[in-house]
Amino acid sequence: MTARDDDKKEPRHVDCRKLVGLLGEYVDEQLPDEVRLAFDDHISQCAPCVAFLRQYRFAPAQARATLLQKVPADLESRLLSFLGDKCRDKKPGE
Amino acid sequence: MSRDAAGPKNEDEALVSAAQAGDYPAFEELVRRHQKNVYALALGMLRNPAEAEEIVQETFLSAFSHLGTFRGDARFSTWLYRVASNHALMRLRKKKPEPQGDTYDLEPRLSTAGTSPFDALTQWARRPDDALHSREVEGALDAALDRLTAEDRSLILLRAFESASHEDLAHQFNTTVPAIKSRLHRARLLLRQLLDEGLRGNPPR
Repeated sequence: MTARDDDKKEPRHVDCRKLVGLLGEYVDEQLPDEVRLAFDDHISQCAPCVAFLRQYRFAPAQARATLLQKVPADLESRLLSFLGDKCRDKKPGE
Repeated sequence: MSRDAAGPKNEDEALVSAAQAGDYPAFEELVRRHQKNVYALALGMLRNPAEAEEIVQETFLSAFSHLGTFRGDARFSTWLYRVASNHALMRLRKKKPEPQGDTYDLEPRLSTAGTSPFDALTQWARRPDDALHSREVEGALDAALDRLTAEDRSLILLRAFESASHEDLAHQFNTTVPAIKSRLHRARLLLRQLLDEGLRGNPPR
C-alpha cells in the first residue's frame, strides 16, 4: 500500500513518518488539497517537521546557489569569443 | 528591435525572434543571460570545471544551430537547459560506470526504535539567507554533491535550476513519472542527509 492509499483512508491524519514520504509532492505542490491541509495542520504543530521540511527545501536551493558562485568571471567573454568565431557570420540553422 | 518587453520570459521571446531573423547581437544577449545557469548546471552534473565549460560551448552551438526549430511552446530557458542536460547526460553515459554512491538506506535512519525520527536535528537551514555564503555550507554541499550519484545530482539540479517537469525528467531518464517522483524524492532526502551530516557540529555561521 502506498502512502497515498493511506492518505485516502486517513486524510486528516499525517504523522511525522508519513510526512517524510509526502515531502516531495508537497514541495512540488502536487498533493491533493485534503492531504495538503492535513500536512499543513501537522507542521503547524510540529517544530521538528518544520525544521526537516526547511532543510529538504534548502539543500537543493543551496546547491544551486553554491554552483552559481563557481562560475568563472571570464566565462562570458571566452564563450562569446568562441561562439563569435563559429556563428557570427551565419544565420541560425545554416 | 525593442528589448523592453515586460519580464524576463517576454524579453527572451523577443530576443529569440530577433536571433531567428539573423540578429546576432540578440543571440549574444541570450548567451549573456543564460550562460551562468548553464555552466552551473553542467558543473553540478559533471563535477568538472573544464567539462562544464565544454558543455556550455556545445549547448550554445546547438542552440544556435537549432534555433529555427524553437517554436516557443516552452520557455526558451526550459528548452536551453534541456539541450544542456542532454549534452551532459550523453557525456556521463559515455564514462565508465561510476560506483553507486553511498548505499544509504534512509528508512532505518528515520525509524530508529525508541527515538523521534528527528532527534538531534540540526538547524542549519533556519536562516538560509545568512548561510548562503557560508564557506562551511559550501564545503559541505560540495562534499554532498560528490557523494551523490550523477543521476541523483542531475535530477535534483534539473528540478532546482529550471523546475523541470516530472514528465520532462521521466522522458530524459527513460522512465515513468511515478518512478521519477520517487527517485527525485529519495535523492533530495539523501542530499539533505549528507548535508546534515557534513554540518553537524560545524553549523554555518
